Amino acid sequence: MGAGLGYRGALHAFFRKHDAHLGFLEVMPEHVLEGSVAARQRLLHHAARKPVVTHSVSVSVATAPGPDAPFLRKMAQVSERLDAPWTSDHLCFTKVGDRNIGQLTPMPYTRETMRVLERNVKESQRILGKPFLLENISAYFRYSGEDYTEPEFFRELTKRTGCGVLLDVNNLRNNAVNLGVDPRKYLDTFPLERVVQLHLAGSDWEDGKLLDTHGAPIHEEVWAMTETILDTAPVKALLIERDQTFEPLDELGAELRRADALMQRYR
Amino acid sequence: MDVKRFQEELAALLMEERARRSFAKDAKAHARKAGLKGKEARILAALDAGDVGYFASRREIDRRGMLRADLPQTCERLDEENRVLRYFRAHPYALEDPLAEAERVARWARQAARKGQVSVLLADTALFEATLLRARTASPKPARPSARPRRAPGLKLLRLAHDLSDGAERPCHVAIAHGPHGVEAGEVDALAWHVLRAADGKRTSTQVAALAARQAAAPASKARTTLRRLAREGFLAPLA
Repeated sequence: MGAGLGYRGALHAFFRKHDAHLGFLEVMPEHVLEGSVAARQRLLHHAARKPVVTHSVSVSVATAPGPDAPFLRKMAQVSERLDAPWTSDHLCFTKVGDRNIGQLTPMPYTRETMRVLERNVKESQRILGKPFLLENISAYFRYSGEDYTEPEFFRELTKRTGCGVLLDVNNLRNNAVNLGVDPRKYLDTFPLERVVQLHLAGSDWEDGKLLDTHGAPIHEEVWAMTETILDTAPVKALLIERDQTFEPLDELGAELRRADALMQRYR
Repeated sequence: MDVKRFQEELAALLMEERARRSFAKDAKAHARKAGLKGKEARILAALDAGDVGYFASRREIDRRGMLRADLPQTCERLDEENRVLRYFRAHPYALEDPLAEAERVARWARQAARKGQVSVLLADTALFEATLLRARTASPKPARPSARPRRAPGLKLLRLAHDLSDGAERPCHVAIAHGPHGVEAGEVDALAWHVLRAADGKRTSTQVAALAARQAAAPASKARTTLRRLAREGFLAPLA
């Protein structure tokens, strides 16, 4: 699929201008479900011309009693309508009972959470009826006394469920800076052979932490790590996430061209 | 390890100030009091209270920060009226598209103002800022000369109940237009507003002037002068 961008209404004109380097779009089902009719029409206009994958934040796949099944059913319909070859969400939880935490919350990587995840991922795969990828998050705090490291957990979970992985390279860098994760060791253990898609984004400093704002240029370290990953992983799609501070658009255009060139080289 | 119990307690920690205070005081005692045992109690108690506090403070900040960048005055008023959480509760799923989120805030504020849950000033501010944001992200086609008065492409008109420059309650007509220096917004007098409302390309300039004069109860000659001024200032497509 090559290089792509997250579909955002504000980038409507940008997509047309950079059509040659835009291999695909990533759409958030939440936008389709909550957007206006006009916004849906604009989205469908692009979806008719480019391959689309769907990516959400609302499945809450690690919630102990089970993922958000009503949302999964809606997500399945959106993915079907957009003919997405796969769909993805984050390895975390956002909902507990009737509470919405409002953030991608990390869970401890233990044998017990592995059992919860195995059941929930299989349930999600059944409802979605399409390949389901899980993404690593920017965590901001870490647990101790876990049974697995994050890459070990991904390895075991993908083995048990057959799910794919969406590796967010910027989240890996954020966790390296904020939590002291060693990216080399991480990638040595990570199931790179299961990586289908990559996310690249920029972060901003706030209160001494590197925040995954999707509002800054992609850092050179992220580009370097991406090349390392592409050397090994069978990546089909490389996506740039940009949710705010779109200007200057030329800068975003240059990032898209660079991502496209990378994918051409490794194809 | 009871994963469900653990998640409930972590959620409480992230969402309740009182739980965070108790946790910061004595994490082990807090876990015990919450009924956690064994592994889940150990993992929870080992969390860094500062990191948890930081993460908890970010809960709404992510969305608030994005909103603040797009709707600064609206967010200020939401804070003043202590209504940010009410909006987040009404719409728990964030929209990452800044335009969509800003427009949703404006819609919500209008409905909430009707129910008396927020002030009309807040609703006015949200509508103004969301419209301005929409104008800034749009790139309208250049205006073509027209024989009849026609609004300049991309021109937006708002009738607000407040003057947003000082927050005073008085009817205020605002035009948002693409000028030579980018998007500009300003108050227009009632007559100009009626002229712009009437200028839809289907009427002759005389009819527009007469219609606007009637609506604004001004002499027709004044309306014709306004028509020429608006064309000169770029609010109307150039008159051929």
